[in-house]
Amino acid sequence: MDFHVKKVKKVKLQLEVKWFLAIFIVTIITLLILSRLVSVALSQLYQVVAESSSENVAIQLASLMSAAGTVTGKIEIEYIPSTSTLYDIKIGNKKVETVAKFAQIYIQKMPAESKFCTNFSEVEFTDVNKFAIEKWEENGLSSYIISARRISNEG
Amino acid sequence: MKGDITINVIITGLFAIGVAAFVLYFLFKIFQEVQILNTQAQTERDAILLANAIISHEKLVYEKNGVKYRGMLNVSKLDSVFLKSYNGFNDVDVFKNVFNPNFWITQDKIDLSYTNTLSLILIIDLDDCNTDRCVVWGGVTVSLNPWELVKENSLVKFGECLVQSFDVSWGHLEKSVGACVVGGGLGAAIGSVIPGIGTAIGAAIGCAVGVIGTLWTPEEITNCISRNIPEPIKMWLETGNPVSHRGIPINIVYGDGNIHKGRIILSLLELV
Repeated sequence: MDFHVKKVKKVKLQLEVKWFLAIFIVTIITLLILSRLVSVALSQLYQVVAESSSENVAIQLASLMSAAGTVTGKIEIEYIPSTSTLYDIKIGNKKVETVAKFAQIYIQKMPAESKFCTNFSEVEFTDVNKFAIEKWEENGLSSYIISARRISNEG
Repeated sequence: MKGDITINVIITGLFAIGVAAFVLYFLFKIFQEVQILNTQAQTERDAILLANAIISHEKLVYEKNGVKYRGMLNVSKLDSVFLKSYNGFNDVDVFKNVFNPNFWITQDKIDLSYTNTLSLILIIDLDDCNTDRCVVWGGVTVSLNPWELVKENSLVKFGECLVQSFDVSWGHLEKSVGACVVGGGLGAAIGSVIPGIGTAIGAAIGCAVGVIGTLWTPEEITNCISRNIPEPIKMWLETGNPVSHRGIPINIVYGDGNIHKGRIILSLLELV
């Protein structure tokens, strides 16, 4: 009787070891396959977030504001960083401060700053995602203005 | 018996650890693969944009029949804004004045600049530059915001970083007391044999050195240094040049209608 109990336990143990080995191998193979898919999916997510991030929009906006000074006469520049993300913008002291308001709660709302070299007046915008930058000349002097509004996915 | 550590439990545990380790390894590998490299030299970008804006500025460009020509600079306008030399950049008498605050380009002449940045603008006439004579113009624009200059100063930010890194936990207090005791003991021993210092002063100095030594770890100090290295030093470390510089081709239009080839070189020194 005792011998039978021991034998049953041994068989049970061997079965469990086999099961664990099987699960272990299947897990590794699954992870190997998923690792590629997950990295592609994460790369795309990161790309979307990076493109519409506070830092990127601050740099792009400040660059466009500086670039407005690189033309003689008049220019109008439109910039829409994202149709799904809204931004709070503060312009003053030749700096743009941007806060991207991502809908996803797991993305931090970190502000970013960038410098520009042209003469825009101090202004603040809340919940906007479309920007219009204008430069024109009047009496031999250049004037700059930036306006912003909110657009939806449909434009 | 229930609760016994059997071979079965050990194997189960080992497999669980193995699976968890592999999951962690793969996650780490995935996150390593999706790093986005977006490092750009900010100063270089700023310098290029400012140089392009300057060669379009109404106070510098050549104008004919109401049309302003980008990239074509009028000599008489250059003369009125910049200091001019006929002996190139080796003309010390002229070029020491370029950096003299009394000769800095004022906002009413060139209103393009970055805040708390020193912009050195050099223009060279390539068609009138040889070993005997070289026509060049130079000037500096500066736009300062003193409050920001203090607030964003790298030394102030380094201090703020150290304050933020300061550990106020009980464990750290124990470490500091221990270091004070050890340092105090050593200081007292050293002080007792040095005439004029004495045991008490030696102990006090030793305790202070011990406490200061435990305030921050070398990693915390290194982190604060690397986060607050000023932009010009970063630029120097990355490119070998202390300031950003870019040369953009231009044309220089003289009063008699002659057009010379030239180059504008703009160097930025971002103070914060």
